[in-house]
Amino acid sequence: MNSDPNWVMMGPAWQVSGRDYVRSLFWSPDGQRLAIAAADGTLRLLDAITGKELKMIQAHTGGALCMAWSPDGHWLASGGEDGLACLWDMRRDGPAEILEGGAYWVEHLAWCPRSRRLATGAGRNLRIWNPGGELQHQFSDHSSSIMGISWFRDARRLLTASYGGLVLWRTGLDSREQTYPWKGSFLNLALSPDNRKCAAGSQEASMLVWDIKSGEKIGMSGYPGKVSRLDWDSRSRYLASSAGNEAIVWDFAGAGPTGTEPRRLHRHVDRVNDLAFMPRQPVLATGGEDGLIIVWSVPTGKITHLSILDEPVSALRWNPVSADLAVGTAYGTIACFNLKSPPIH
Amino acid sequence: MTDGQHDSRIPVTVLTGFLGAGKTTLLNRILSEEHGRRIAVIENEFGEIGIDNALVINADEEIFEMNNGCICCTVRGDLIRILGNLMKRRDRFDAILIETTGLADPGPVAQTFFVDEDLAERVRLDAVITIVDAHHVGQHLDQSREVQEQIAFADVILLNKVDLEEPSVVNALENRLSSMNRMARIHRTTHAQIDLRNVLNVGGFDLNRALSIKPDFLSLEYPFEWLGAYALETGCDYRLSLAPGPDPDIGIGWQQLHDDILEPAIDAAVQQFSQSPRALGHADNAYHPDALLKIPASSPINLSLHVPVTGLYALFTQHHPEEFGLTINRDQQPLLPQNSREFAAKHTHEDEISSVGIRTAGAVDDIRFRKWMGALLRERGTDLYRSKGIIHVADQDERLVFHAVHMLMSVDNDRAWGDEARINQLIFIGRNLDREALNAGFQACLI
Repeated sequence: MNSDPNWVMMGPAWQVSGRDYVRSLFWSPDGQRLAIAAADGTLRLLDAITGKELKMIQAHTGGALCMAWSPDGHWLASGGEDGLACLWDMRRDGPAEILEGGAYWVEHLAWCPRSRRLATGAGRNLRIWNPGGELQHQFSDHSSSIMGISWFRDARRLLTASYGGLVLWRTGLDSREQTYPWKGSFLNLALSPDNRKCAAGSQEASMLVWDIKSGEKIGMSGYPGKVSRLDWDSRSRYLASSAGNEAIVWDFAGAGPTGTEPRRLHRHVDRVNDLAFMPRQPVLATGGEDGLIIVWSVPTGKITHLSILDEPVSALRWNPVSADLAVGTAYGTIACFNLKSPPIH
Repeated sequence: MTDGQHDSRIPVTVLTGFLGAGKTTLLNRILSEEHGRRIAVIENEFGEIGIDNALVINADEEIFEMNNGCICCTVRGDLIRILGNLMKRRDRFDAILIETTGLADPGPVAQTFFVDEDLAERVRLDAVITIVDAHHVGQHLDQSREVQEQIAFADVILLNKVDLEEPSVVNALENRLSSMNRMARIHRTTHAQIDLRNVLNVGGFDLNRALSIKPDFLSLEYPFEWLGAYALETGCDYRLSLAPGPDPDIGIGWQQLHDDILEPAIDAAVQQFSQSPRALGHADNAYHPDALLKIPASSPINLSLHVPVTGLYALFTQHHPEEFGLTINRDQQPLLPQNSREFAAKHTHEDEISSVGIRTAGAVDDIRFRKWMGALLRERGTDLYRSKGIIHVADQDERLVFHAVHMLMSVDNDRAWGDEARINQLIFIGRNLDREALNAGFQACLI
């Protein structure tokens, strides 16, 4: 290995242990609390500064699979292996609204930008709810299981990914508004923050990016394996994707990535399990099965910060307000890193 | 890498079978007998599972077509998703059972374990268990492509409900199943009663155990159809005589028996038959043991046998001796064998699905072999359900082992041959297989 002197070894600002695989992490919109959904079905709330546990809920029988905090901070939604979505009112204690996902597992949740609607994806069922827990709409003509949901900023349209492509839905319409077909098995989707492009990673070592308006698509192939994670930076310029031990970043500036080489961020020694762009910065964090947490400057491709845990990293998420990075592991540990804290020598 | 003993990956057992064959009975039997273990059951049909140590997950079968380069295959997308999530739990499962619908093609299930790298790291496909109803399966075998495929894919076949059928029918059925899939172990059961060691941890897809489980799996196919054991005395005049028969020539080998035991001589003869035959020289030349002769059967032959020492000898003939009027004569009197055995694989019915086994000595050219297999799977992969083999590669001390499901193949160098005889063993199970072409193709890989 080279003796790269330029990165900072991070130590966690706090670290707490847990019981089971961290499936999802979500910061409250004000950045003061961190929610954790685990494979034992629990939801936990931790204080952002100290890591102190504020609340622990046995939310789901079987595992919790997904979680999303509403943009206004009032609601925390979780989905689980009991086929249910739970809607927790974060302003008061009390039981959750229980929503029937329509299939055995609720695997995807997405809040619309104005917090008026929650979309749940369970098997082939896409359902739209209001925060009171009322079913507003359901789209049931999905041909295969939903692998990802994303709302547009207009809070009326949403995209889903599944085998065979993307589907654009509009609330109030009974059928699909548009399809973005591609013969392949998609694992996820990522709508760019400017809502102009949508990327979907495939089981077959490739990624597709559609132009929403024109429907034109570009395909990126040559990945070392299935494309398991995607994230756009907040300016919709960089699209990060992971496959195998690598994070691969495409630059959509100017004429776009067609014909260009992506930046391949290669330092993990095992599979990259999650990645996320820091809010408002072209800074990418990656967490791997190897326990490494790496922060990269995307324009230079250089590592700026690095840390290692004894356990595989299963999820990571940036605090929307501060520069804190929350990391969850396969054994339930939660660690919080602050990039401004002094380096460890 | 895939050492069965130290493999910490969770074994997955796939249960297939027509509706009513007894899948749910077997499933419940496994769950109750294995009550100390944590078992996840993925079901596509509603069964009646009332066991609390099992996590039962209902799955909607979702068949995805995958296209990785030139290799096309179908996988079960729902299984990738469900198994992927199951692996993310601290309370690890000891075993996973997948029950398919009665009409399911097991191909996509098996292929799923080849295409997803995360799954391959954490779970291993142990075996496909196919349970058939002895009373009804005959009819299904004639009519249902799915049932044929379930037989073709199986590592283990449970011939269930044998109590409801005549023994002669069960015997015929077992022969039929066995000729379709000669790799599978067949067990006769009533109410799916079976020692679970026969269905769990079978290692059907484990390269290291690929053939060790059923070392005799090729026993039905030999390069000769007949052997006769004769007591011969040295110094006497023995003549091998034969007349023209239905084939243009006939391969003949003979071996001295030691301690009157046939098996080592059979193994030696298998090797002998894989070598280039010696051309028949002048008819006066005496024929010595251990050499393979290819005798043109265009005119009568009368060949002197050289008996080095008095003892028991086995004569091996490529075709049945009666077809050529083949005898050993002493003083012009035909000698009766003390013992004889037939090896012919008799094809008494016309199933489209069959097994082709190849067993031959000789070193294989690695590159030629890989090219041949690659082309074979590419061109015939749709019709080839399972392929397995152990190969003796020239200049390599380790065995090359492979197995394939349709076009997807795993190849590995496993343990060293050691003292074991270096014999190539391959088996192909598929539809409309061309036995001659497969044999010729493999022979062309030999150095």
